[in-house]
Amino acid sequence: MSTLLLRWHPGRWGWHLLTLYTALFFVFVFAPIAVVVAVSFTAEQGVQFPFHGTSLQWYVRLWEYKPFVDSLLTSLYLAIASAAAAILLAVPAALYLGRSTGAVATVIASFLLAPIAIPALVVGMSLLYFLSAIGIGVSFTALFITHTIVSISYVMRTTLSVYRSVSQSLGEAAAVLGASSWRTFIHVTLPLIAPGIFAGSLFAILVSLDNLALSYFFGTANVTTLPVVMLSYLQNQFDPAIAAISTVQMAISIALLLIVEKTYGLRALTTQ
Amino acid sequence: MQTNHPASAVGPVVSKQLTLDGVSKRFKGSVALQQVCLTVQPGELISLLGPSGCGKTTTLRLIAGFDFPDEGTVRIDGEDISHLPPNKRGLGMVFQNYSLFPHLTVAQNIGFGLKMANHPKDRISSEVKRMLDMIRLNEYGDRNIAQLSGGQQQRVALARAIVTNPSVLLLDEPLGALDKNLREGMQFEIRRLQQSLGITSVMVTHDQEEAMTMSDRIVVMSHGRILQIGRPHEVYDQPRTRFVAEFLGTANILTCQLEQVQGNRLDFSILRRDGTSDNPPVRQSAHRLRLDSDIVPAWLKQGGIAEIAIRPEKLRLGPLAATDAITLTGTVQQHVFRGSQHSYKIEIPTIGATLTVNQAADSRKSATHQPGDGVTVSFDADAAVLLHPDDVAEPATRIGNSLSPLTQRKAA
Amino acid sequence: MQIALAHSDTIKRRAAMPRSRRWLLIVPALAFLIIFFALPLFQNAVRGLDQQSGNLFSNYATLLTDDYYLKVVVETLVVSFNTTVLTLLIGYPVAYYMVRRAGRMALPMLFLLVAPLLTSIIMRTFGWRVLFARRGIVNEFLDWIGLIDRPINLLNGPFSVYVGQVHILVPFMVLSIIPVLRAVDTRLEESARVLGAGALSTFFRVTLPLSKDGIVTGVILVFMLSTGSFITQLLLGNGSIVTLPLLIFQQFSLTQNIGLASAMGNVLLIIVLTCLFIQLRLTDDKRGAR
Repeated sequence: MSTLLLRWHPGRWGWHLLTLYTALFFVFVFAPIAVVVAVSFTAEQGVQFPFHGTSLQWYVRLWEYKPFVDSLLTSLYLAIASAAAAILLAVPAALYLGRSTGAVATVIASFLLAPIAIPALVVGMSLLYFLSAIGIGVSFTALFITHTIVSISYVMRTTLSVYRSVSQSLGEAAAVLGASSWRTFIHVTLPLIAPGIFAGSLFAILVSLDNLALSYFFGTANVTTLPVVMLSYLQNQFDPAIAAISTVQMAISIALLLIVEKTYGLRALTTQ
Repeated sequence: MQTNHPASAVGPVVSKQLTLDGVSKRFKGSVALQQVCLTVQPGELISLLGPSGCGKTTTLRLIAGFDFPDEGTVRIDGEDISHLPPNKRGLGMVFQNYSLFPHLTVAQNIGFGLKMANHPKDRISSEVKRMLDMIRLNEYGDRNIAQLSGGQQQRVALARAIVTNPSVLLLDEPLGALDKNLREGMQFEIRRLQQSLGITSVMVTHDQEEAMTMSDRIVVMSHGRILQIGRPHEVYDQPRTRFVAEFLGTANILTCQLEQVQGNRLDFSILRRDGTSDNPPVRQSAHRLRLDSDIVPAWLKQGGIAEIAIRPEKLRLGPLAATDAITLTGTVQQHVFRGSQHSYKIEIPTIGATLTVNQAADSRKSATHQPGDGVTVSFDADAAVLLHPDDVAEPATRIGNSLSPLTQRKAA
Repeated sequence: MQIALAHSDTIKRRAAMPRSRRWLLIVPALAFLIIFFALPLFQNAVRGLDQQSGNLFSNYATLLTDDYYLKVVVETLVVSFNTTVLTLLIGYPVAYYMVRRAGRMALPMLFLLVAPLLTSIIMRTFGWRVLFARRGIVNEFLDWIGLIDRPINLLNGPFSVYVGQVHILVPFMVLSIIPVLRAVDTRLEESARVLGAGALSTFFRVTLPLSKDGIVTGVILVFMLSTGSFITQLLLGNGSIVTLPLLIFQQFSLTQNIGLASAMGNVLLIIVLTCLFIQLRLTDDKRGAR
């Protein structure tokens, strides 16, 4: 029997099986997403799939339920602000690490990339206590600091990777042609690492928009993020409005992705 | 420091002199350059030639300003630039892989230096146009770099470097990335442009043919020191050390012993090597060699051992008429036909050596020899060059001499 | 000689910027992270130590000896382990297909694989709740093909939690395996076939071992991510599976025992750091062996 198995040559139908498996896999991957998008258009009152009749009532509901709109705006603002702050901090760091060798540089690089690896729950909890202790309690500022920490890692990761692929002799060529360090950065380095910065920022924004664990500890009546609101809505009310807001959030993410694709192409994203 | 800033691009070029005086450089404990002294005359193109690790690239980078010397100075027309940053030296440089800015067009690349010097836009565009004409890429101004061939990128890199009227042009293995046919064309192109503009230039290369084709003078380097500086034919015909002799072209090396000195005549006997190891036992052969020399080198004592070099094309098959010609008999081991020449390896039992003889291919002359044929190889004393040991201090003065080897001096 | 030249060039190359001022570039990010990342985590570690009672490590002792807490810690590891195994088994064939058979479809497929990461975890988890509902489509389908008579409770149990976990994490496994599998020389497989090995044998003896690096990377990554996750357990498990992050999440508002919560966070941290350490060692070993 084992020798039979060893010499088994599946032939064409073996590959067909694999193709079928892969197709089913992708159905598996998209099923829940498709279902949610579908349910958002249900005319019924409860969450049910399949359902009968379509309507936009749940999108209307989003408008009416203030926490959704408020938290969505808060989340967007937070994501963009923390990404911007991350760029200001991470790009110089990438410029330093991209041309440094040695143990110290490696350690620093690992340290700056660590926030992504640590469970967001632990980071969020620790920061809550710390920030409260130093006087920045639960507030937008606290959220901003927390999200920036994580965003720095995403921006630095892609920027560093792209910067390392930029030949050092380009900077030297610019210098010989009369460019100071600053002008070399503006005219040569920045244009070349821009795709990396954009890709990293996109990641940072997308992660920030969806980051429940990180934001959970900082919710107040006034300032809270979309995932936190969605969670409490799910646990308390559970109706298709959740599907509608999820679809809106997904649409925003896709829009952001398309913007990056149009300006810099998605190849930067796949170089990880 | 104004004179070193990229000058206005219009107007006749004033050629400048570049001097390296006693330059030394160490990297993490190992010595990269030792007391390098070099003067490049205005409008001259010199090549730094040597194997990898010899210090030629380090020298170029010190001139460019990417590193600073530990000792010594780098001066342009007398002005000390040794510790200026690269963007304040007013130089031009062509990099090994061109280093063209991938996000800029051809025109933007060429105009970059002028932009950094804050020239007005219309001046920049007229200068860029002038350059595009000069390198014959008139219609390519708006093209992206990636769309150009290797040779075209080369020319753009050159244009970018010279449009700013640099005081010195640096070339770092500029032709390494091109294939052979393109390379020869570009050698002439670069040389032509450099001469017509009169820009003092320093080129780094490991290709001795390239160095000989393009340079006014060649600087042969090894292990951080300059072994010899001279015009191409000087360095080729009168190599100073064994390293130089073997690095430029092929050389036949014979071991000799100094029998006696009579005035300006050195009488050697050619030694015979028994065996093929690195230091085989040597005995005297029957052959004698007489060299004329202006100076007897200090390191050579009566009875001492020296090496002489003879170029393969200076050996003749068959006897020579001259009275002081040396004639050797041997057997052909190998024959290689290279189109323009025949190359033979001939074993000479009386001196225990295998000599390489190159003969111009000419069908009208005598028939070629085959392996196994017995032949005579002869040369006259003029063809022999006395080599100096690598570690002997140079007798040349510190600044800017060609270091002439110690055999018959030919008028330069 | 060209290669040797380039090597000696890189040894001598330094940054063109004056070395004295370059370190200023790293200071802002470093300072920010030390103050707002390292310090809080350190403070968290200290907070986990019991200052009041005699035993400094009483909190940790509780976690590791108390039946309930120990069960939770073990459960965390078990769930992560199971999830990792499942994502490996489910994901590897997909990676194999994408590398070997997809051809021009490879890039669109990659996009399809990554696209779900654009959606909220809550959205995906909610989707499973809808699919697995009592009168949801899965139950209806099972009824229709005759496997069951009455709708079964797919939710609120380990099954849905694992489905959710695998769904979220399998792209990471596939993405880790793809580059390594791509680097496996197909000629090695062809050699094996020429020597008489069947397809399955070739796979297990040649392809799989050569893609080991990708498997290891994927395994560590998925294990780490699974250990830190709790949303799936919360929304699909309804208390049937309690892992450490979920416990922290639930207990945070309830318990007054900050010390214990911090200690739990630290145990979680230690598990994750161990994974990182293992991964670092493994990649270092490979670099050393070269």
